[in-house]
Amino acid sequence: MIVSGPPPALNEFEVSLFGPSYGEALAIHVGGGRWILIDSCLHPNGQPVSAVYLQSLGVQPSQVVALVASHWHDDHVAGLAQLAVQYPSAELFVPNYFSMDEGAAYVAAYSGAQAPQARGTRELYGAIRQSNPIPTGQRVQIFQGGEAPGQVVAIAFSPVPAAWGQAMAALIGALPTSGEQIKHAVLPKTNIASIVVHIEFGDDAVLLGSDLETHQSLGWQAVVASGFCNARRKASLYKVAHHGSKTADLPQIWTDLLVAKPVAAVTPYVNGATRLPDGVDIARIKAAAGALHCTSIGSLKAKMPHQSELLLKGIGKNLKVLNRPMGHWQFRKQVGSATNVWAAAAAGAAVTL
Amino acid sequence: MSMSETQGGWSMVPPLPIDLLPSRDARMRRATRLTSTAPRVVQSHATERPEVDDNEGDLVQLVGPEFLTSSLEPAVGQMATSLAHPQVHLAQVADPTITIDGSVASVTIARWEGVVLDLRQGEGVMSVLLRSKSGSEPDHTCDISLKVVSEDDGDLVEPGAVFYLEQTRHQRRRTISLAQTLSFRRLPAWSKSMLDSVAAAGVEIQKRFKAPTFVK
Repeated sequence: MIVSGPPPALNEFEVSLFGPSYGEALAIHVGGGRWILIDSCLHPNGQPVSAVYLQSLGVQPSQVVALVASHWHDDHVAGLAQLAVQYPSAELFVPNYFSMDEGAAYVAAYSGAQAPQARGTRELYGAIRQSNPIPTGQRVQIFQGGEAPGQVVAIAFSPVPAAWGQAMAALIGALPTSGEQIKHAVLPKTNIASIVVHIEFGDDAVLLGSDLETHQSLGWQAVVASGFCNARRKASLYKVAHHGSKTADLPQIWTDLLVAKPVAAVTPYVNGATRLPDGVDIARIKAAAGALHCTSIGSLKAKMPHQSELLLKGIGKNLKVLNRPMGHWQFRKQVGSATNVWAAAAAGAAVTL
Repeated sequence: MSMSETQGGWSMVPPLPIDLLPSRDARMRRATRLTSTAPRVVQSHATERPEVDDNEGDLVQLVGPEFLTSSLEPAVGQMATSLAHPQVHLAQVADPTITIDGSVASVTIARWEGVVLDLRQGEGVMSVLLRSKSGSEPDHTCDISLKVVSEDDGDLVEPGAVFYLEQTRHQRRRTISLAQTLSFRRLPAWSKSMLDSVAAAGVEIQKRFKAPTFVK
């Protein structure tokens, strides 16, 4: 379920996207044998899928230079703490608000030591404990290297400072107080403070949209309105934001930040009645990109004892299994290549929609 | 049918559209318990007669409340504060192997730990994540009707709330019934010492942050 073969050449840029129906991870070769990992999900063997892939390529732990937690939702951080242990020399980048008093207190409150927790906060807490994380906001540099032909620069396009404040406000509301009943960590509904990563290499670039959503003035609106972001090189490959949802799409993303008809790749998301991308999403993205590469597609039929399924259907609806098979899309491109074409390879459940 | 409509808080609902055991000439009915005395029992499905050999027609033997007394709710103070020890609560219910109580055999079909992901009052449902606690079934999601949540648990139903769903099969003579129990986890309150620990841990992780480098 992962693409096998030799590692990329030293002057070859690679974006590898992994995902079942609930989970997302990226492994980026930025040249010179160095890698950036963004988010994490688990291989069926229980290991972080990015680590499984890098091991298959013979990549040494010291070759991983950065680990980015774009945000802390369960489907993006499974195995993150384990990655921090496996790659101790990698710098950890997390959204800014976790470096502030209330953000740190929130992660500590829902770390699992005192209260039940979402996997997201537990994983984030574990990763931070293993690392010296760097708070990340717009214009924060994640990586810079010059060994491959042309300069490679990875920069965070988001979140903007105003979004930190909104995210912080949501966390403050969930901070525990004495006498209050312990609850599970609750996720903010709208994701306007996720880290979007833009990487320039040679005369090209990629845009990795994480789960950033649109907002009246924050989220993607703040990115496309930013003169700094607009001035960067347009990307020829786009990891579509928020699993292809319309809540994470703006025309300006396609016109201002991407070249015409870029390569587009997405991980799906299934949760109760929510199923992303849906047919409308796929049509919209294909109209802009030409094709959409998805890491996993397949049946969502429940996988449980028949009588158990019967009982659940008696009290509910939209019963769906979460773990469709893992898929992997690998995109490689020679830096400075005359053909200007991404070489794509797929494995597992990956498909082109 | 009048015998079954109100006795013990039970009432009849339309038959299920599919067979529990389709290989046999099964006759099924579904019964829903409406009583508020043991409100965590949300539903039972009854019944299937493996061998229809008499003139009982469509009469259905309903599952009595005595078969549905398992409670997943822990005693006050018993709750662990970590998900690392969920078995503590489940140990109170019937052993998953068949147990005999008089003429009744019970077996646990599945146990699930659920987390409320979203509450959609307008639709009358809660979107939940279900994790198996009894086998190797993968995680599932489902929109569960709020009608099955007991009044006692009403204050607990909000995003982040944890519940347990116990599904059992009971056999009495030749009658098989299915039942499930939904129980929300009532956690203790935050104490001052817990909050002090949280504050100390927050300070510690804050020390680990480094200053960022901005691109001009």
